[in-house]
Amino acid sequence: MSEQPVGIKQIFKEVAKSKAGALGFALLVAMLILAMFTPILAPYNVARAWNDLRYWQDNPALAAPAWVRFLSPNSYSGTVTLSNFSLERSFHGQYTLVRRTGSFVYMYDVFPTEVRLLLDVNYTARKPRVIATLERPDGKGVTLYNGMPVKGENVVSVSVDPKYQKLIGYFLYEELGYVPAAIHPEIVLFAKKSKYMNDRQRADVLKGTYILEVDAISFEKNLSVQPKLIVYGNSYGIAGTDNYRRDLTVGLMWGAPVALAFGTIAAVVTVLLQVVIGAAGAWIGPRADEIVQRAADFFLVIPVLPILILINVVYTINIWLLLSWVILFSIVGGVTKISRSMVLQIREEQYVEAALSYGASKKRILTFHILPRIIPYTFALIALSAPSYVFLEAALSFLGLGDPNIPSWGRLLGQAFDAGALYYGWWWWVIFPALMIMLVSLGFTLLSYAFDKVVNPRLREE
Amino acid sequence: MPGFTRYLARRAVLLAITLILVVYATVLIANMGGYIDKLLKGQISFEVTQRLNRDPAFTRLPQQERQRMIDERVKAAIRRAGLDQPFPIRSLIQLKQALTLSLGRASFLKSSTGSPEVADIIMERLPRTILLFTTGTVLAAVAGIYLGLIQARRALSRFDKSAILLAIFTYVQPPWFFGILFILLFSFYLRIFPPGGMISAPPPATPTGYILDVLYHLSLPLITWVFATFGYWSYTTRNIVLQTMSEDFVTAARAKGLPENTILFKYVLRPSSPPIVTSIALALVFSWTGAIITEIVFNWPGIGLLFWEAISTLDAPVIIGLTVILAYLLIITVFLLDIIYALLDPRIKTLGGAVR
Repeated sequence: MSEQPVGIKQIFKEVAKSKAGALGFALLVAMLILAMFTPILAPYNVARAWNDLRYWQDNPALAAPAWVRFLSPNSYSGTVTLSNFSLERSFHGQYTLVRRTGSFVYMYDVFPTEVRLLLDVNYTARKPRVIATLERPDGKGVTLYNGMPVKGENVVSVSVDPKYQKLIGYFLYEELGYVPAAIHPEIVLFAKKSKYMNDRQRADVLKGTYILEVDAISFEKNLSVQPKLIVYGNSYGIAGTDNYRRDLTVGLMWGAPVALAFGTIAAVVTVLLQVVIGAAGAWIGPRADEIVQRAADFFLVIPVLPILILINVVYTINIWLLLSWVILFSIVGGVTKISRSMVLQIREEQYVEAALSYGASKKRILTFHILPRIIPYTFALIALSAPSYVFLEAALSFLGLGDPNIPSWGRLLGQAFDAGALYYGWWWWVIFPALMIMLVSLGFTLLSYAFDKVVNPRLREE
Repeated sequence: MPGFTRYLARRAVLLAITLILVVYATVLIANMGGYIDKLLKGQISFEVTQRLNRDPAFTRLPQQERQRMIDERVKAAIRRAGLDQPFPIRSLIQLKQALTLSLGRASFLKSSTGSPEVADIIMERLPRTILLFTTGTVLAAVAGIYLGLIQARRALSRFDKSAILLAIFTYVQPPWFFGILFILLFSFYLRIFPPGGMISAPPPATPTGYILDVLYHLSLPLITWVFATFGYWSYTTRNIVLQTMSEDFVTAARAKGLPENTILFKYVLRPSSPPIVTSIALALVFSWTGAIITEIVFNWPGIGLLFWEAISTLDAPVIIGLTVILAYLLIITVFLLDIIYALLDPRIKTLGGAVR
C-alpha cells in the first residue's frame, strides 16, 4: 500500500499520464465541449421544435449526410430551394394578373427525391386562380398546379399527392402517348425526354436552368402570392435527416448534454451513496452491517430494468424524475459490498486503533480516517458505472419511454429501429447515434481502466 | 454438524425473507400500488354501463331504476373479478398465490395455443430464451475463461493489455447495442443472417429443415450475445488467476521446478475456481430471464419479449408470474451455492459453530 499514490491530485496526474487515461479524458472533454456548445449552435427552441414536424419541412426526408457527395458525387444530390421570384403585376379590365418568375439551375447527376411547391397566398374575399408552370431547359413547360388556393400557406406536394401527379400524367401523355400506372413527378420533371423518363434507373437527368412561373388571376387588386419551390435531394447536413425530415445533427448534439449529465450524475450519486452506506454499516456495528448487507442483497435481486420500464409506461416522466428513480433503486448494491469489505480491512489497522485510543469519535474516524482511504477506489467505480447509466437512459429512450421533450441518442436509435432503418439501410440514422454513445462509454471505460491501474496494483507494471 | 446445519438454516431464513420481500415489492409495483385495480374497476363499470345502455328494454326504465341496476351489476362484476376487497388485502392474496406458484390467468395476453394461463404462457416462451441465452452464456463463459487463462499466463504483455481493453469495451456496451450494429452489418450489408425472428414464415415442413431454420435465425443473436459478454469472463478469470498466482504456494511450486502447465492446472486453477463457478451458476440462472431489449431488437419471442408485452399491456398477473419464477430460481441457486461452498470450504463449517 505504501507505493500507492494516496492524494487525489496525484491519482489524477498518474491517470492523465497513462495512455488510456489521457485518451479517456480527451474523449470526455471533447464531448463536454460539444455539450457546452450545443445551446449556442442549436438553441433550445430548436430542440423544443423536435416534435413539431412543420418546423423541418424544408429538409429532405431520409437524406444521407451531405459530405457523402464528395465521396460519390454521382449518386447523391443536394436540396435546391427556390424562393427568389420577380414580381410583375398587370391589370386587364376587371381582373388583376400577378406573375412571379424564378429560376434555378439543376446540375446533379441523380434525380431529386421529392418536389414540393409552397404557395403563400393573400387576398381579401375572392379566391384567385393560380397556375404554376415549370419550364424545363429543353423548352417544354409542365403544369405543376392549377387551382384555387386558400388564404395562407398551401402545400402542393407535387410528388406525393395523386391530384398533382395527374397533372404530370398529362405532360407524360403529350410526350409519350400513354400514361403509366405509377407516376414519379420528381423523375419526369427532371428527365431528358425518352421512353424511360418515368424510370429512375434508366432515365437521364436533364441538367440546366429551370424556370418556375406562377400566375395568379383575381378580381381583386391587392392580391399577393409568394411561391417557394423545394427540390429535395438525398443528402443533407452533417449527419443526414430522419423520416420526419428532422436534422439529425441537432438530435446528436442535444444527446451529448443529456447523456453526459445523466451518466455522470447517476454514477457519482449512486456510487458515493453506496460507498458511504456500506462503510457506515460496517463501521457502526454488526447489526447495522447485517441490515445494510441484506438490503444490498435485496436490491441486487430485484429486476431494475423491468421495474423502470413499468414505471415509465404508467407515468410519462421527465429525465430528472427518471434519474431519481434510478438513484432510488441503486441506493445500495454491489459497491456497498466492496466498500464494506474494505472497511473491515481498514478498521484493523493500527492508525484507526490509535485514533480510537486518543478518543476520536466514531463519526470522526469514519469521515476523516476511513472514507478518504476508500475514495480513490470510487473514481474507478464511478467511471465504470457511468456508461451503464448512459446505456440505461439509451435503453429506455430506445423503447420510446425516455423524456419525450428532448432528443437523445437512444431515442434516435429507437426511432431508427422502429422506422426500419436496419432493413432499408439508412445507416447514418443508426451509425451516428451509436457512435456517439460508444465514444462516451469508451471515454468512461478508458478512464476506469486507467484509475483501476493506478489504485489497483495488480494491473500495474513493475 | 450442528454448526453447519445452523448456518444453512440461517441462510435459508434470510433468503426466504428476501424472496418474500422481492415478490411483494413486485406485486405492489406491478399493480402500481393499487392504481391498476382502479383502472380495472373503471373499465368494468364502463363496460357494464355500455352493455346496459345498448339494451332497449333498459333505456325505457325510469332514471332511478336505471341507476340502481347499473350500480348493482357493476358491484356484481367487480366482486366476480375479485376486486371488491381493498388493495392491501388483495396484494397479500396475490403474494400468497405467487409464493405458492398458483400464477392464475393473464389479464390480456395469451399463449400461441390460446391459453390464458400464466404458467402456459411462460412455459411456451422459456425454451426459446434458454435456447438463445443459456447457450450464449455457456459459449461466452467457455471462450472468455479460456482467453482469461491465456492472458494470465502472459500477464502484462501487449496481447494481455489489448485483450483487457477489448474485454472491458465489449462488456460495457449492452448486447442490444451490438445487436443493432450487427443487424445493419451482417443482415443488411453482407446479407448473411436474417435480421430477426426465430423461424421463417412459413416454417419449413421437414423437422431437419425446421431445426436448420431455427439455427439460422439463432446465429446472429447468439454471436451478438457471446461477443458482448465474453469480456466479463476473460477479465474476471484473468484477475482471479493472477491473484492466486501471486500466492506463496505457487512460488514454492515454481521453486520446485514444476512445469508451468502443471502449476496452472493443479495449483492455480483449483483455488481460483469457486468464484468463477459462482459467476457461472448465477449467469446461467440469469440467462433464463432473457434480455428485454435484445429480444426486442432481434424479435426473438422469448421471456424478455414477454416481459415487454406484459408491461406494455399492464398485464399484472404475467409480470408477477415472471418475477416470482425468476426470484425463486435465483434464490434456490444462491442457496445451493451456499451449501456447496459450506461443503467445500472447511472454514465455513467451523465458522457456523463459532458465529453466534
